[in-house]
Amino acid sequence: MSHASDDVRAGLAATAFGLVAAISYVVQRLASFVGGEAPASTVLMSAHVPFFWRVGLSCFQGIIVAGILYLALPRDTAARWLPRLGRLVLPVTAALIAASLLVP
Amino acid sequence: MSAALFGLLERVHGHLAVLAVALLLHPVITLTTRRLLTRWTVRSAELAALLLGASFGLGWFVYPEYRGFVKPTLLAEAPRVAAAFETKEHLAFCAAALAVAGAVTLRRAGATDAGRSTARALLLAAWICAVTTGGLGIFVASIAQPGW
Repeated sequence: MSHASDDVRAGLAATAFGLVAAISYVVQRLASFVGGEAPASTVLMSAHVPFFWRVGLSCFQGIIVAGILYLALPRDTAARWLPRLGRLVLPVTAALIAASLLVP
Repeated sequence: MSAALFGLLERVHGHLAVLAVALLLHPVITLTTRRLLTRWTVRSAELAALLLGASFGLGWFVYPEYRGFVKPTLLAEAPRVAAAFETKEHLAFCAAALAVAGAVTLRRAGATDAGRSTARALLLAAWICAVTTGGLGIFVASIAQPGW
């Protein structure tokens, strides 16, 4: 199986990136909803576009968490955490979809 | 950006996304039905993530035009469609992030059972988000045409 490696630390870091970025995006949107974001109709022509900021921040946070996990976790710990994180993916995604549908 | 270019890019954006959604199914199915990881499973996961990323990037590129010229009228006359677009953009980002994570996990940890099962979960989650995004996209595009 030379086309895939067994670097579980990198796998865990990549998984963490995907989850953290997706969760961060939806949580930022929910926080904007609760805290009050300027109505879209009043910021249409402004330079501040929440979508761009949310995407940028989410990617940044995902990369930071992935980098920390990759550098800090020993291989044994990463091998234990990877399947646990994998089991969280679908329930978390279901929650993110529900949140996105409920709070556009 | 002219309305014609906006329309062209918006259609390319949608078609790339449809291709990515179809391609994402390949690694999801093969990771479910086969015990061994094949070269093409890894490649199709990467290509699907790339296509989804390209589609998302194109959406990002035309977003200011949508925001400036389509969204005001949409908000005023069809607020439910505008809300559907907002949900679409949230789920599109989730789909792209999860697909990239799935492809990288498969490439870097696919030689282990945990790596394959986690990559499968990520790619399936990306597919579900992408299909929902696609459905919302078709709904929005059927109403919010360029020059609408």
